[in-house]
Amino acid sequence: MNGKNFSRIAACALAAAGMIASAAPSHAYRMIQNTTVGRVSAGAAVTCSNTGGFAHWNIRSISWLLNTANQGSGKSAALSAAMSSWTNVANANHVLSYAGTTTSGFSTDGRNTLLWASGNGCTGSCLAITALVLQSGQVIVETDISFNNSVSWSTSGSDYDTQAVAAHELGHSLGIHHTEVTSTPRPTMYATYFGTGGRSLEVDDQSALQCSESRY
Amino acid sequence: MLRYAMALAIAVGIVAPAGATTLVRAGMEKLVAENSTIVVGDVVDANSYWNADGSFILTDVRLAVSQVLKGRPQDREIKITLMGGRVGDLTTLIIGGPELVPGRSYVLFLNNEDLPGVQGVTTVRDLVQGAFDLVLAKDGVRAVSQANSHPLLPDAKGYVDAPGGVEGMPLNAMIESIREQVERPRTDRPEVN
Repeated sequence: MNGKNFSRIAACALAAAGMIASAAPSHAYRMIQNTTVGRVSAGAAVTCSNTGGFAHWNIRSISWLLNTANQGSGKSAALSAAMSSWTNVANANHVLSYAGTTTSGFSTDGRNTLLWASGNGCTGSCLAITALVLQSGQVIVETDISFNNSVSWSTSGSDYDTQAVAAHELGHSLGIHHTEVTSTPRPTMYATYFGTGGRSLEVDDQSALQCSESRY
Repeated sequence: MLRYAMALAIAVGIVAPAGATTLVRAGMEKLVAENSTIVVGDVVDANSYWNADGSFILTDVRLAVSQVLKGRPQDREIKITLMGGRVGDLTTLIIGGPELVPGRSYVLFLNNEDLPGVQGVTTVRDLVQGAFDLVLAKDGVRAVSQANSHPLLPDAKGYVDAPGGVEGMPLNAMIESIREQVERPRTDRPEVN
């Protein structure tokens, strides 16, 4: 399916926003907002109750395909584990699942794709790059993550840990920005890579997904 | 100075929210060495479109070049291609991509790269790290890295803050430093941080 053919999907109701606002601590998770016409870089970081809303899915089940070319081979278990971390969040019904392999690349084709490649705008100092495809109302309709094949990726805990980075990037793919929590244990959505500690979600990460689901 | 730098880095870590893309810090030396073209210029306009096979939204940015610091752009107005943009009601958001707004001025580190569906186009290879906003400060024009809004992994020397930090660096000093490195590349020159 070509990206141009996505049908318009209306944004969901914002009714829960006020209730969520009163419950959210001042320094906590943040969501990705993109309301600027033509903006091509990262969106703003906003609270879950922000009146402008934020990027979100309006479906619960999100499946991912893995392109096994390059270092993508042998990464399915680590990626599946990262997906399970988000699926297992209590009081949130998002189900992230590994749906097999693909030959798709970093393209807007209706498939959520994980791949290892050289290029795709991620060379040099870039380790991994994420693209979100949004429709009107900041509805996410596709996300792709391209890992830089020029650096070494591990599934055994050494740098760079595939599962930890994938868990973080998948969080962004759910519309979650970097947290403002800096204390330990660090949330997975902490801004900087900190090794295998990023594999497991903390309360702050879980709260972000729960908040998103409550609002949308 | 070290304390200031550390405080700055911590502050950036706390307030810098943007980005899913994971970037290792690129210091000024690395940016200059690894990009073929460095220019100062003003963004004239930006036009988003689907690439030829309809698989990805790209944006062409026209830049009116006022100074060339490295390379030999053929014209005083150049085209820079970026991933992402908006066509109709569909937006492709590149987390960690540079923000080039018409009417604003930048120092840009450019290189020829392959992007989805196109080969060898001039782009900001280092994403937010390759774009410096020009802002007017009390002491004149300063160049402020867009990477201040993006967390960076430490480079080989352990630095995590973007070159110039959140306050940026005087444009004239930056230009002088870049030109010096371009004319007399050295491996032992200290980083401009």
